[in-house]
Amino acid sequence: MMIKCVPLGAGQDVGKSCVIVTVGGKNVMFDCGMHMGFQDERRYPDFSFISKTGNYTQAIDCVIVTHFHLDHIGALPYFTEICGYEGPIYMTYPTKALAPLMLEDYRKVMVDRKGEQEQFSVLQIHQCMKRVTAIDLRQTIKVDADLEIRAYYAGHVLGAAMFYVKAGDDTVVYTGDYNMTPDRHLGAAQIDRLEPDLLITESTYATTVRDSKRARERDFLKAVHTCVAAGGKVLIPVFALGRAQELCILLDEYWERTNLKVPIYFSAGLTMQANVYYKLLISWTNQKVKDTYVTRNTFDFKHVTPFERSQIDAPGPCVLFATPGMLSGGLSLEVFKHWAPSDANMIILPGFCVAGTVGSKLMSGKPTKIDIDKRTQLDVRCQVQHLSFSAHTDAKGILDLVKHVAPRNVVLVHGEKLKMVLLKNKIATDLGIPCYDPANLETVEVESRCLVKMGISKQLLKAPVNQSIIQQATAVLPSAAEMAKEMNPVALPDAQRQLQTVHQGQQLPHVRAGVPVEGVLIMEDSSRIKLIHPSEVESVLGVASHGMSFSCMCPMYLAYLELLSVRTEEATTALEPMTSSAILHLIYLHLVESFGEGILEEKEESIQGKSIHIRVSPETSSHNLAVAKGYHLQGTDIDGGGIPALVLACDWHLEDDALANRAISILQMLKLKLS
Amino acid sequence: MKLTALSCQEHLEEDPVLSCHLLEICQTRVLLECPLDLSVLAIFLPSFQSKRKSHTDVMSASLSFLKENSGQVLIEGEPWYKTAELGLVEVALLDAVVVSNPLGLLGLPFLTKNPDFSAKIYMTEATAKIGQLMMEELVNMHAEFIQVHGRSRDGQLPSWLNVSTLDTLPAILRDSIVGRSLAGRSNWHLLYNKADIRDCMAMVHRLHYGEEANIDGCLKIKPSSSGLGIGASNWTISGARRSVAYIAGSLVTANSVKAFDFPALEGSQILLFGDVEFADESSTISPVGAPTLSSERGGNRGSGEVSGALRPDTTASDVRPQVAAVCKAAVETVRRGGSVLIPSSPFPILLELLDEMAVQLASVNLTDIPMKYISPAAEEMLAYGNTVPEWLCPSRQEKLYAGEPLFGYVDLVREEHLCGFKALHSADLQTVWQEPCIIFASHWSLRMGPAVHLLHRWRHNPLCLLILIEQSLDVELILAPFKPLAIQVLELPVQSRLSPKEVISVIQKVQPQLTLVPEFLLHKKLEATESNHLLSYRTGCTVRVPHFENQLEVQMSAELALQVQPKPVKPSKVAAALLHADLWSRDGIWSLQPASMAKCSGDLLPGLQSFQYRWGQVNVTALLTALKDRGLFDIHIQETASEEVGNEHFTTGDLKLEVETAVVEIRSPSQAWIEIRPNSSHIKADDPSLRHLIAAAVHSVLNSL
Repeated sequence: MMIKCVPLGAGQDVGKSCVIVTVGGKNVMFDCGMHMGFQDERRYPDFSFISKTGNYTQAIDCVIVTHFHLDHIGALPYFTEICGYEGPIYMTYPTKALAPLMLEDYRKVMVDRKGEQEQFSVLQIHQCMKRVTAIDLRQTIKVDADLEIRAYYAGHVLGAAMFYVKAGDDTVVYTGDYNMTPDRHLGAAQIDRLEPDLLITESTYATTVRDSKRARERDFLKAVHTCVAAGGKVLIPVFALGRAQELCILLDEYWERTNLKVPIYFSAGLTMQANVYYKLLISWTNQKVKDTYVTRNTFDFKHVTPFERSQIDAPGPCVLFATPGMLSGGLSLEVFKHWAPSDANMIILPGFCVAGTVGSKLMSGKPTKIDIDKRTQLDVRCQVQHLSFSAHTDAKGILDLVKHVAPRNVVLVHGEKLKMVLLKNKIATDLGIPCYDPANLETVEVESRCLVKMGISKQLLKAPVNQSIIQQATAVLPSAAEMAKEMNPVALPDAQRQLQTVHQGQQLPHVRAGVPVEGVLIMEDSSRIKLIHPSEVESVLGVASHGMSFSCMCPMYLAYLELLSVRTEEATTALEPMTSSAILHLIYLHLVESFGEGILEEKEESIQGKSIHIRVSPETSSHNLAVAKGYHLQGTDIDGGGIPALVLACDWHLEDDALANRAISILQMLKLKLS
Repeated sequence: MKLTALSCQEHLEEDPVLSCHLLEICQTRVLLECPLDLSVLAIFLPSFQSKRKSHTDVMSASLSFLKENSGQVLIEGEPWYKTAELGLVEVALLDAVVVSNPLGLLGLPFLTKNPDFSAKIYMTEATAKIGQLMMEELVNMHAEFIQVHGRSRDGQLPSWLNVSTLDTLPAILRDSIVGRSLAGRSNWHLLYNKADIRDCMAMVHRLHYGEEANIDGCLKIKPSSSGLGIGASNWTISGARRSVAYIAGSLVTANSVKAFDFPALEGSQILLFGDVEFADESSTISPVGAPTLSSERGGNRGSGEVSGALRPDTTASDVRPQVAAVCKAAVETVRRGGSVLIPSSPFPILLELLDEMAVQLASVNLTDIPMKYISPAAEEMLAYGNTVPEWLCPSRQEKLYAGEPLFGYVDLVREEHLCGFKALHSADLQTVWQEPCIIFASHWSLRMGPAVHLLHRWRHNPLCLLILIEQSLDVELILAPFKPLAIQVLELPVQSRLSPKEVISVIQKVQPQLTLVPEFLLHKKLEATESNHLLSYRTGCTVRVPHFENQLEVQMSAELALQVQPKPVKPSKVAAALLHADLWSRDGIWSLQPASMAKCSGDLLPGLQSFQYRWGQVNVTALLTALKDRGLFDIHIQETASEEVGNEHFTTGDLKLEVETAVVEIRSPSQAWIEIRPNSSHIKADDPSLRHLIAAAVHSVLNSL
């Protein structure tokens, strides 16, 4: 079956992440974000793509939100409360707890400060969140009978998760945003080798390979310290949750260590409130924070105090964390307008800035004038620092993740177009995995594994173990061992050990890897497909099997036997006195020499093994021996019209044809050796 | 599949024992729980009373370690700890240990100390956290005994455990030590230390509810909430051919933690009840005061309505009736000016008790009554309780979303009405000490820890109240060292297992094909259900669980499926195809991939390829045509109407039947014969290539896949 993947947002772009995946007949929406760079209808994903009639509940089987950033969840209240989606929504506990804060903050900024028309109300945010099912990490949730989802730790922000979706036999992993290195309050992303049919990964830093985190932190602290020491003010625009906590921990610890008294402010309310949540959600942080929360909760900051709007123009140095990030509006933009004109001050942009925001304008080059909006232009004299503190993985991390998860196909989203192409090529060539970077509303189709499920008989499942012992013991092992000996003398004991373990586990159906089996596949009219052991065919199909067997005569001349007796130490008595059973024994020894022990055995005047029987033909009389000896002494027994000392009668069943032919050819080979 | 009960209740009247089972399923050996029987600690003298003269020595000098008090004989010395019958477990062969709740973890370090131990250990994250706290608490409190008695030498049995001494002990004491056979001696161990706990916990795989773990690719196990306490779980254990739902200590009644998860267990073939209440339903809340002790019953009844009326939200709350009763009794006592001692452990209900106590105190305006939790685990447990939203019931999860503390006690801690202290002698505790107060203290066995000292302090005060909340304690024995007592004693055991009635309802909901229950339950309680689907087990015995006929399944890769071309088979309406493939097994799932061996080493395995299944009869005319097609023309047919077969040794003796045989003789390029019988053909030819040519011809006129 085909798996379809359409980004409604974040296709060759960052912002309004929203990817629709059709997998195993189910439609799953990953993330439902908004674009921070747009103020018009382009800020939301184009939901009309999903359903022309607007019946989204029917069209989408479930919505999965990876984390609480607005570009991943911003459009959710709009989608549920205004577009009317009523189906299931899943997110992790922290995301469910923190998302309303983010949404409410955004709503306030838009409505109160920008005077825009309200997109959704407080009530609608709460109604929306009520529909959400919170899930725990690694917990397998059954959305319905054929649809399973599971969250993995993604590290990006508190509660960020990657999602594994299994519909029928088809599997998809959607990473959301993730970070492959642990930071001060979060761990690194963790996921299993899931080998999904499709991996959809973010690619924010598709080409960047970042230096060590320690160096970045040192730069950050140095810049802040230098600025405040000179009496300047430092503005750090952040989102209330995520980097804000990380940088607060960093600064708080530094202030403690260096005994600095310069105030650190946090733009009121939200972040203080956020810290309460962080304390409840300790189990989602990293090990170090978890280990110390009893004695000292990392989120109780000593040096951080709330900020009042009246303090904007207060004299003296300070550090201010102001929301929102990217200087997209609100307090951070307001403070920026006040502080930017002074060259003593500093703006630190700690993360990625979406195109269209003031933050991204600051980052491109070194502008001295910035257009805040159509009417306002601002002189920028302050220092502008950009420090990559985004908790996104870098290019190496993305490649590591792809390698680790081992998908059959990769789709890149959430990145910049040109950089994504480079990464796409790298994945395709270096890892050999087909990779796509669809633009918004562009469909990617990949093929899934299409496993066929069928019944299997117990007899067949038990067979491979027994069968493999026999096969390895007969043909495979000696030759394989010979090969191994030539190539690598150490490998031999390994092969033998393997054989032994198979022996020990004879009754165990724990077949681990690639054991050859032979079965018969039966398809009845409408019922299931079943695989049975060949020996069961008779009863299942109701037919009588037709056996095939062979026999042949194999003359043994005295010359052969002499050859054998010379080579076989114990037969130094040569051929005197000679009985047919003594000759048979000689032949047996010869065969064992090339077959190894355990396959053929001497029994009742014959050599037997599986269905093979080698006997002295009744036509051979003891008289033959004497006559043959006469010819032999003349040297004419083989080509001079002489008679063989005895004739071996061999017979066997078709199943053992190969083995029998090999035995006979060994005997006939003697002739060649003579000449 | 086999189940060996290493410890379970044998009879209704017997003291309950924590459950412990060995499950052998799909060639994997899984130990279910590894608990300690801490109720037998009661046979030892409390640490602080040792080496005092207040007890009379009993009997001879050789039994000088026995002390008598109030008619009970107790052992003076460092206590040892009793595990289940782990002697029946071959430690080296164990593949996994599954622990459902902190109580099932307490004995695990004894197992992991064994150098042969290599099994994987699974439990929920919360169980690991609380369990570790409880083990450390135990080691901390046990240190009191070491202070008094000195450290026992390794490898030396205490005198009371010697075979010779055992016979001379009072029968009751001997029974609690070794049970009915002397084999029980090996279940006693000297307590582990902190390093052992650390080593043990380092081996633990920590899971979330609903997280699947894999044991050696053979078994999948998954915990689901059992409703007993934070992180307490039941398990589904499934292999390729079996699936078991294992019910450990569970509660189906609503409380503060995630409710018993029925859907997770549905679809399991076998339901295994590990831990079941033996008491009747009716006795769950009834306080059973010993006749010599004053009972709280009367006082309770009067105040019941008052506090009930003050809490109009009772019906909507998640508080269990037993918890409410405990708190009610405590509040009554402090109102009278007495202090309350509740010996308790961090699991399962401590946090709920704290919460409810705060509510009830507030409802009667007694918020200035200090509450204290004194245990080596106190501070961590209090802090931990506020970080576990994932493990709690929906109404408490709502508190997370609202940004409120998960438990009400957190506010009390902030306001310093509730404090946690590591030990009674903490300097901080001395400064804030104030009576009356409500104290939660460890250990509930009343043999060590702060609870012992507090009971000793208050035992003569008739205003004070001791509330025993653990199940099925031998109250007489437990209180013996403290006698005479004036303090009031209230027994309010809080349910921690399913009752027989609930067992039946679980069976009805999960609908398994077979249910495994402890033996006593089968005889007494489950007559109502269809007993033909019940199997019972008892300690020390192994139960074999019969196989079910079930369809085994294998997955075939699309690549292989395309290679298969089934042909219709004439007599029956089916299509069939011969299949060569590689069989893989991963995580208990079998799959078929295109054969790799046959391709790369084709000559090495000719047998595998040439085996073709054939059926039908050889039509001689068709065979002649087939032979001619292969360039064999010099053919003679000898129709033999009947011939006695059996002289060929490969048709075994019992086949000496009269059968139709046709012989086809080929004279060039060399001589060969084909003997055709209804269900077999035999080819005689000395030239191998001719032999194969003829075989191919015969094969072509038969039906094959």
